[in-house]
Amino acid sequence: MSIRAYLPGRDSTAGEESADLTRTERGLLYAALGLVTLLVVFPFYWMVSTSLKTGREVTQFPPTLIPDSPSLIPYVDALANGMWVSWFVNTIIVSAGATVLVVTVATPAAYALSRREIPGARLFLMLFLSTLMVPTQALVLPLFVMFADFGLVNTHLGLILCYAMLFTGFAIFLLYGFFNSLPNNLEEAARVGGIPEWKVFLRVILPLTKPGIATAAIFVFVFSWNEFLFALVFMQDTPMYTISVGLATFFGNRGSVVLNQLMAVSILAVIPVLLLFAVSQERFIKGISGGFED
Amino acid sequence: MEVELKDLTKKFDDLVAVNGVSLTVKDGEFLTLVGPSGCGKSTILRCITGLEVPTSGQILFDGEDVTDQQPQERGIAMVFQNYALYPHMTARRNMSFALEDSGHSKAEIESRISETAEMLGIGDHLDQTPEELSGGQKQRVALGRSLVRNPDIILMDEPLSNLDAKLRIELRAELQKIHQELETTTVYVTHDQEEAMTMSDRIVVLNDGEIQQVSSPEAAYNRPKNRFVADFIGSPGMNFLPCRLEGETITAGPFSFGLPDGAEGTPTELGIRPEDISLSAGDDGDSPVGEVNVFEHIGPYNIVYLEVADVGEIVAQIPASRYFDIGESVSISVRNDRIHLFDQAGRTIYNPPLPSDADAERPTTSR
Repeated sequence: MSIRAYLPGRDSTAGEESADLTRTERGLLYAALGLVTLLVVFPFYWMVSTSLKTGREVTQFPPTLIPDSPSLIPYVDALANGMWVSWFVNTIIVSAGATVLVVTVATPAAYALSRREIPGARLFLMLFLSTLMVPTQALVLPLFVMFADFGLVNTHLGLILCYAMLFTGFAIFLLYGFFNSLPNNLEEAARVGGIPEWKVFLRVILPLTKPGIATAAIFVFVFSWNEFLFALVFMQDTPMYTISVGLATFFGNRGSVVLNQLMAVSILAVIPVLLLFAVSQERFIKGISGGFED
Repeated sequence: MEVELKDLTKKFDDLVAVNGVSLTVKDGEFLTLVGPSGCGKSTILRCITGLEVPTSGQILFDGEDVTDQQPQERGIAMVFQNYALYPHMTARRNMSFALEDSGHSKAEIESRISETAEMLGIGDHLDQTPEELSGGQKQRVALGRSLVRNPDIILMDEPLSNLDAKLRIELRAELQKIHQELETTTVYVTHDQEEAMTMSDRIVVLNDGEIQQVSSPEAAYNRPKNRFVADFIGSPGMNFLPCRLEGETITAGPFSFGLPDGAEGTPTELGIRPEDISLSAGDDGDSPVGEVNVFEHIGPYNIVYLEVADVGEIVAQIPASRYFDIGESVSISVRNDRIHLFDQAGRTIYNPPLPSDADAERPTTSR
């Protein structure tokens, strides 16, 4: 059942249920919802609010909820005190690269697992899934040694390969479910219609899998964008940092953590991800909840 | 093109879906596979398409063994119950998609599509996507998608089952018309015996993965080979009464009949078609009596469900002009020469002569 059905008044059954609630019950329900919303939204608000405060106001006690004289100076200062552009570009290269690689590999793999009779298909699926269960910390060291031999440390490609390894299993699993929800009939109709197999995949299956692929791509992009541990270990030179590592090492211009500037760049770092969600929200929700709709 | 199945068997793990089916579909014939769900009819069809690989047996197209060929290689077309139109393409693209890489010129594809669309009455809907089409239009597009390719064989898997009753009958007639025009070998699968009866040159009645009877629709109706066919074909279905043979007399509850000439073996069950029963009001003191349980107005005729002592419920089909009240007692009469007899194993041991007394096979049509 969708979340929508639990919301009062959205459809008939939910409407009837909410009509049964007494005034107190409804009050409690909204109070609980409000509390949860506050818990989720407040940290973000605090981030925004802090980023707009002057240096003195940040350290004030008790802290102010609304900045006395909001200004964008922390943003300007922060941007002047780090290699943000490089880090930003690095992050985009690595995230986009990982996304393309993962989707390119995971889509045919998931399709094959879902549709072809492959001996041991279940075992493969379990193996892919099991990559999600290994703590990533355990993988850092052996991979680092191996990548060092290949000269992949401190390169975009090295980090892209790491992320592909971390997220392909997840993408396969997600797309596998999506392919399973596609009716078999369409491929059968195409096959019987004399359409060659590659064309069935590229022209019939792929266009219908777009929401699923988009969902997988967004997940992988966001995971890569936020990833910290591998980026920290594999990117050793400051100019090669990704945003997440850059943020962690950012101390501002006076050598100590400057909270308002840190919050300012954090917001800048989050904006691309938020934009991505805003643009693809509809498709994304369809992709994770509905699967294919006939 | 002629299709021949040789001892076709398909197993899904332990389940035998099709068991040793041998069958020849003549060139240009409209053959229907009919049977209850799970009888293996769709599996046979899917084996012909190549979407399923038979466990054993052979499939021949005009004598050529295609058993191991991919669906793409077989030169066939299939129409699905749920249309299976490509949802992201317009009706036109759905129809042209398979032709695009087959070396036909754009103009030729265009003209074939408009010709086919004209024939199917979907000319105005070619630029719509499946989502915008009604069920009947969708199935017409799907049919068009099959026909534009000039396939050697058309396979149809319950193509009308998702449509409402009126449209079903309309399309049924259209399909027949198209078949008469194109004379493409057609194998049609349905669970609806009425569809099978109305459309086919020959029907194949299946049960539990085995062929029960291959014959003209008339023969399956009038001369069923066994109890299953007798029961499956015809609506409302045949009445079955357990019976005993004593000397030359067959007794089933209050009914008794003389053993007809030509009956071989011991009848244990007696079959009577509902239309072979006539009813008269009241107890005439002579005939078996039943009590009216249910009375249905169909239009051209009425259906009466009767409760008869010792044999249970009997269904009769009577003229629309006759009317009986619920609970009314009626006298039942059945002509001695209209009964079917079955033995212990369910085999037919006697079928009445055809009303016209002609041969059971339909006179061969023009082909």
